[in-house]
Amino acid sequence: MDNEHKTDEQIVKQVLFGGIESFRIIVERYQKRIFGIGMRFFNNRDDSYDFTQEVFIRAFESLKSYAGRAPFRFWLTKIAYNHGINRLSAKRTESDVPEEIPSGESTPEARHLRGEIRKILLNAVNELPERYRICVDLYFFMELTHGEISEITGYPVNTIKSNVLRAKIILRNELKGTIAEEYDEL
Amino acid sequence: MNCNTIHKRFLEMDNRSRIPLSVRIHMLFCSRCRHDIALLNSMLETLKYDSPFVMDRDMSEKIMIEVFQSPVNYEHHISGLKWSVVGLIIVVSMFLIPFSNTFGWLRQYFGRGLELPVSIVLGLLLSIYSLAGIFSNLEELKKFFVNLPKKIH
Repeated sequence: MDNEHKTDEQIVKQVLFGGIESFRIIVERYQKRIFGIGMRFFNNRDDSYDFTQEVFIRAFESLKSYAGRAPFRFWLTKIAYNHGINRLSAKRTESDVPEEIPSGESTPEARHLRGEIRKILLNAVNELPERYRICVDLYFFMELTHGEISEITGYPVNTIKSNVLRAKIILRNELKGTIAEEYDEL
Repeated sequence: MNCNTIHKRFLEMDNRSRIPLSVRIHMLFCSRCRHDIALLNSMLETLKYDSPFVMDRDMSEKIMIEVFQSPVNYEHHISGLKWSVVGLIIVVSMFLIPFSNTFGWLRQYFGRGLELPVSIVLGLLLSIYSLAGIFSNLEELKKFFVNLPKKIH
């Protein structure tokens, strides 16, 4: 099987059996999302890049402790969240408004559409209380369940559910009449 | 059930869960809900491979350099103890071969001249196994022999 199509868990096994180069696939799959978690914590690009690097090194060095009972992304997110909390308590950073830079997309339409949705979701998330924003990110971008997010962050499941629901409702209402709907109708 | 209830049920769904039957049935008959839910679903799908913030540089090369420099190493390694236990089982099995019924039958069929070639082959296999064991544990053996004089004194 091609390495790109292997599951995270299969790649982790490969790394543990000495195929360290396979860890690059994990990094390529999750770097954007870990960077996103970093931005939520620090709101500063340089700190978030350092954070991303540190999270992956920590994950690599404690890979043996991954038991495979939960999805790998849950385990990785847990490492990222804990590291974010620790780093944040050590250093409070000044606010830095992130600039929008286009990511590598297949077509200009898809790039534009994704940018629009991201913008809408960011607006929706910004309407939530600050400490719950990361829960919504973890739900939408890391595909974690309410229970998993609760386990990582320690917030009650019902609080997470209601915040995710609020974000979804805002997203749904904002999507009406936007480029996304027009794109869908084409 | 009206469209609002259906929408609410859909929005309350958790990640990695199936669309409730009531929502599916409603979607069969309501084209507006079918369209809205499909649109929202496809929009949420696109987010799964994304991040709320855009990265303007690829970190993979930098991270991999750090990974290769890490003191943690995941080379597949069979411990010296395992090699020794399996080696012992092989040696014991070899000593038991002359007492087995099959070997007795072979000796009757081929005569006593069979013992020498069988011993050579088994000896050769044991030597290959021992060499493999030694070479895969060179570091441990080196440490052992370096520390041995200290232990004796």
